[in-house]
Amino acid sequence: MTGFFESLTYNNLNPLKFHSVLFFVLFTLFYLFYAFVYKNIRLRNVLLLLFSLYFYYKVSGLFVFILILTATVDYFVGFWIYYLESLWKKRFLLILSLTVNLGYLFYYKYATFLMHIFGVKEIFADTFIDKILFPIGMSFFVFKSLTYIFDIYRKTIDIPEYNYINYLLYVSFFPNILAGPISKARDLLPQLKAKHDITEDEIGRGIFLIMSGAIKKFFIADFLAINFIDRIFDSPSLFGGFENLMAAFGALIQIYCDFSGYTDIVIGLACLMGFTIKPNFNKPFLSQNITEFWRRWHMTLSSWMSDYLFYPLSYFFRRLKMIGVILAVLITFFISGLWHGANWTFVLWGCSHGFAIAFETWTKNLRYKIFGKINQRFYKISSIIITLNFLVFTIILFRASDINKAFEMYKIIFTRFDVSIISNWIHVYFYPLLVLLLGYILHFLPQKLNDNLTLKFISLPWILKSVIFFIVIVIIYQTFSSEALPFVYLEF
Amino acid sequence: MKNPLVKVLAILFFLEILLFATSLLMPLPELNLNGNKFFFRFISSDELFDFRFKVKENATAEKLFTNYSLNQPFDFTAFFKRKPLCFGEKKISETYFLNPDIGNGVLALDKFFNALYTLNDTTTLRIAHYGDSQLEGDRLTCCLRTCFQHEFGGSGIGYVPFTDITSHTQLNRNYSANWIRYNVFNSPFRNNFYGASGIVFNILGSTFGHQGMTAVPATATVSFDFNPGVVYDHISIFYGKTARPFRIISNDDSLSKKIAEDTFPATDSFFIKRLRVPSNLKKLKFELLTSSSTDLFGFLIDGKKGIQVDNYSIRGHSGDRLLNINTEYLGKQLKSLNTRLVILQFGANVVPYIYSDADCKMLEALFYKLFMKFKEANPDISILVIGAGDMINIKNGQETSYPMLPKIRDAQKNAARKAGCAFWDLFDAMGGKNSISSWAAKGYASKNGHFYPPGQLIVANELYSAIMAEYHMYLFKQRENNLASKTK
Repeated sequence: MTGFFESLTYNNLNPLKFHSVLFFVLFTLFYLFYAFVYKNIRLRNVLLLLFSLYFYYKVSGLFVFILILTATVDYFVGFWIYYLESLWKKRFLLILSLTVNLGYLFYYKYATFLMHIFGVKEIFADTFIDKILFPIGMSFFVFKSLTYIFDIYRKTIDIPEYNYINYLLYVSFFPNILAGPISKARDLLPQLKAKHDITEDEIGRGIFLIMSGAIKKFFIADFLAINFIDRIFDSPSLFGGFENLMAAFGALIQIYCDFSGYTDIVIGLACLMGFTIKPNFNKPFLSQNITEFWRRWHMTLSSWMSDYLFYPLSYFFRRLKMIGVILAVLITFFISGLWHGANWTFVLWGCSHGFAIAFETWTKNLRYKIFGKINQRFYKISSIIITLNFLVFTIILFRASDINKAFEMYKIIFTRFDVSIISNWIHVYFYPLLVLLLGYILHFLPQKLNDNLTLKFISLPWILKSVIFFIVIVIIYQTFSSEALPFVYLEF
Repeated sequence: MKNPLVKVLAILFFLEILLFATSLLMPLPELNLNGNKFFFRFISSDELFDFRFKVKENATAEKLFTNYSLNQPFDFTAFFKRKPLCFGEKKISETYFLNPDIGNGVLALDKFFNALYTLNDTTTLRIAHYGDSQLEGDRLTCCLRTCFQHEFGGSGIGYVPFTDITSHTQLNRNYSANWIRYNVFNSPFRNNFYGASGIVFNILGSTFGHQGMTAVPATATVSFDFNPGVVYDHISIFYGKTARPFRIISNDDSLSKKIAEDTFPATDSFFIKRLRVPSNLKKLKFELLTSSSTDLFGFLIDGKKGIQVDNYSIRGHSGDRLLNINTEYLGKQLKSLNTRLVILQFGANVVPYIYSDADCKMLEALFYKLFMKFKEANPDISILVIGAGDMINIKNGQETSYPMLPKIRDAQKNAARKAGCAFWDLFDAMGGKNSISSWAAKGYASKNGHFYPPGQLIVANELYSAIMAEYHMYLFKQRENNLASKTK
């Protein structure tokens, strides 16, 4: 166990990762205690809180204090909002909480971007503002904490959380602190206060999800990124239109497998501890339009955006009728794009989806009429194909490192589409192509098949489960890079 | 086990035991399957039990980077203002640069140096830079060209093919869809009369005529929008066998105005003919009209005099297929072009497929054959071989250099020595084993060994400095000889 004790402190060059041996060892040690205290709610929550804070410290270092500060401020603000009678005082506190939470987010995430936009980057060169580091997971824990404040303000939650430990644990709960899924207070807080009888079913499901998540992340997403997609997105001009288009198809499945793989691991870990976290994905590429896509992709963020941004905005613009709805959609998606990253690529990506949904809202009646007149099966399949292609083309904006590279890729796809290189490309990129196809095939397989497999795995004896887990690790290891890429959504 | 959580613990512990057991029981970290083509890997005990954080910086590479300040905006002129070398300055270590004696005290690069030494005010001396995707779109070559032209004069960007699968670093190129691009590597031409670059272009529709069936007129277009800073004196068309004369209409694309219409004669060999195009026009459009099959090689965009470096790159290529070019035809072309130095930069594409010493021997023989072909094609040229650079291989979950890379480098070096060619060791110049991680971390190269613009500048400058050190040795030797003859 060389260097084990030194590895227990924070190292900014080597933050703790879910897919590291160190996490595996730490989680086993944690679980050793958890298995014996989990029936005692207080002890269980104290243990979970300590491990969650330590986990965040190992990932982000002293930024753990910002996490504690955010949670503490909102814990007290939540109380005051609940108990104060006066509406303007409630509003003042809501604005205070928003200012604190979004203030952190703006400072850490958007300060550099804003300096760039306003052309003052040089003025602040080499100052502390120029050296701001973004704490991993801040976008997620800030949204989680805000959910609680909004729910108290709107009285969606009956009473505020009295127990500080429970509240701090809700914000810092280690499985989903880094990249979601964004649990709402009304979903997770009651679970933290309840006693769990963890069943064999939950445990089998948890392990199965961890394995399937790891396969998606390492076998598909990382393999594609390292062996194909990164090369093209790094220097698109060195490749032809066909290769750039294939990279866009690859990027879509890569990001899906990366994020849904991460989500599976998170849900699986929570399952092992007896908690239920809402899923984030439901076969998004089967969507027939972009509106449906956002009901199947990053569902917890969509739900957050709908509840706390889109509906209030729609209400605000209600007198404008259809235009009001479209305005609300566009603003929501502009902010959603910006939430994903302080870069014009994300803003444009968000806006492109916003415009697509606005178009769908505008033409809803017309589309219903068409739907009634033509073959429904044809309509559905063509809708899925059109939607998938829209997603492929817009993912270029999401995945490109800057806007110039994204536009360069579009230009190459439309002006240098040389089909003569296809056979050579297949020869050179045969394995990435196989993995790419595998990714899409696995996605399109019926959910029932996955459910049956899960049930079969659950029914296996524990020793067989271990052997299967071992085989999965060995298979993944064949494609594993020592510098396995960080989960894409950790950056948001 | 009534408590289901104890089962989870049991699963975790059993899993760790299995991983530990395989790490101990497997005699080798990997199992060789399918004749060296696939290795089944096992997690090593180090990976399971060594929690130390390993810093991946390569000290030699880091030291090299300290010589370069690559901040934006980039000052190209200042970058090339290096300390002038003195006559007789100490020779660079042979581990980096090999310039072997090819007999009678003559060194491998002396023919090129002699041409450089006697370069006059009316001629253009050319360097042919052959390579794979490392050089695609004029990458690396453009930096090397800047170095040479900065010191010895010259302008223009040299050879530019009509189409490519990559964009060009010095211009924006658009072309019609009816170009057919053949190359020695993966799209062979019907005969072995390729251009010196290993590429031939035909215009779709005109090919039937060549076979004596029908003469079908065809027109193809290509337009260039040069980057700011590109300066040239004239443009020439470089073409091979053609049954009938063909025409090129040149247009100033910024004004959509016809400038000239040139007719070029038929030939059974090849021609390099100037177009009547004014110097330094920024946007040009060419319409090529043929009525028979015409084997076109590309444009030459040159200055009045000085040095020109031509980029002859083909993606995926390892150099071996250049053997398919007709040797005599290649020799004549190199002579007509006044190419006096051939730089051959290959190897990256074979690195993943070399597993044993026997493979290296085979590679050495192949490279020797290639180098000798160029010598045979034109004995008046010097040849400089650039060895394969560092590349990442993911093995046992660790990123390391390909283990055979030093041996591949040695094979190239041995072949160069035997053939009487100079050799520059890119692998060692980069910092040796695992140096690519440092290059990649700095954003100078990708892990698979392709250099990004700052990396290209460093490599080109290091290469140029190494050549110049040898040149100054040559000048020193010349001066000594002159003094000796005067004394006599």
